[in-house]
Amino acid sequence: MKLSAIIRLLLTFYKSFFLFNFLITLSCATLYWEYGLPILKVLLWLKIATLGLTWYFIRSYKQKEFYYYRNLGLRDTILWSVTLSFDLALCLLLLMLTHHLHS
Amino acid sequence: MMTSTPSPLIHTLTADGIQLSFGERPVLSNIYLLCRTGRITGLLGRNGAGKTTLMRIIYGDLPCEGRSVRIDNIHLPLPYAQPDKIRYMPQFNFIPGHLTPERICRDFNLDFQGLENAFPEFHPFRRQPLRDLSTGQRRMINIYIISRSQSQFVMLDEPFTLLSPIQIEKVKTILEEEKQNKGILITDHLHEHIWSVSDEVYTLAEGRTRLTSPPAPNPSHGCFR
Repeated sequence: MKLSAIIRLLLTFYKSFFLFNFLITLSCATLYWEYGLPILKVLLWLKIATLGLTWYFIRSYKQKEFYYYRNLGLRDTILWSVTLSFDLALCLLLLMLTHHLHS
Repeated sequence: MMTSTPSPLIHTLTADGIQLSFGERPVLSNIYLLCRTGRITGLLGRNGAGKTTLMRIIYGDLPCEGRSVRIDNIHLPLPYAQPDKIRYMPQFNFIPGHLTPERICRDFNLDFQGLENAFPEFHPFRRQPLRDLSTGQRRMINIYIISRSQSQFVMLDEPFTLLSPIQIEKVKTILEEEKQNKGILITDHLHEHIWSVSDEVYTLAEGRTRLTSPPAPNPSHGCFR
């Protein structure tokens, strides 16, 4: 499968939980803006916990759709590892940007 | 269309040594199943006999105590990771509802025109999300993409259920065409359609598969039972 097709499928999967996770990321950035470094550890654990919740709920409520990706050669582990890593990276990037703008 | 290219090779899919039990109760114990390119293999059994379970084990997404699935005598440890070898259509709609028929065809390397030619009723739905289509139409797209996609083998779980008689005839035509390129394994509760489309039929009962001969037509019912 072409790389562009793989990326398209990963984005399709990511779209199914992007909004909720992006709202959490924005909340983390807002809280970091307000309270700064002392709250960083809590925010990171909050983000990791919401990623865990996302994994649990999507795995339960959208389990039928995983056959779509499997039939196209994308294993569940690839779907999860790429999208959750990307989401965490996006959160870290936004926190770093907030830190940079605030200081 | 890409999938209409006839394959010059005959492939074989063999599943045996499959062992599965739920607690003390053995569900599958003595399985032997052989599918070949150019043939449609039917799988029949009562409710709860383990037809879907067997398909999922062959596909590799259901762990079991023992299993041997081979294509051309080469063991497949994770069949679902090799869609060029085997694809599986479950008995429910597995396509995300927000995708359009056009996008689905693109993902599976199929030409939308082919779908439109086979089912002209899809013309107005080219860019409509799948969730806007009827249950039967969604099922037809499920069957179409898996059957037509490029793969050595496809497994279809209940392809005739939820379809109208006209749609069933269209599915049979697609399967007849596609068996030139691949091996097809199907199961359904509508036994008469399995018998009419299959080249060989296995019956699954008491955890075992047996190659079965077609029953004599029952004149009082006008169909196979």
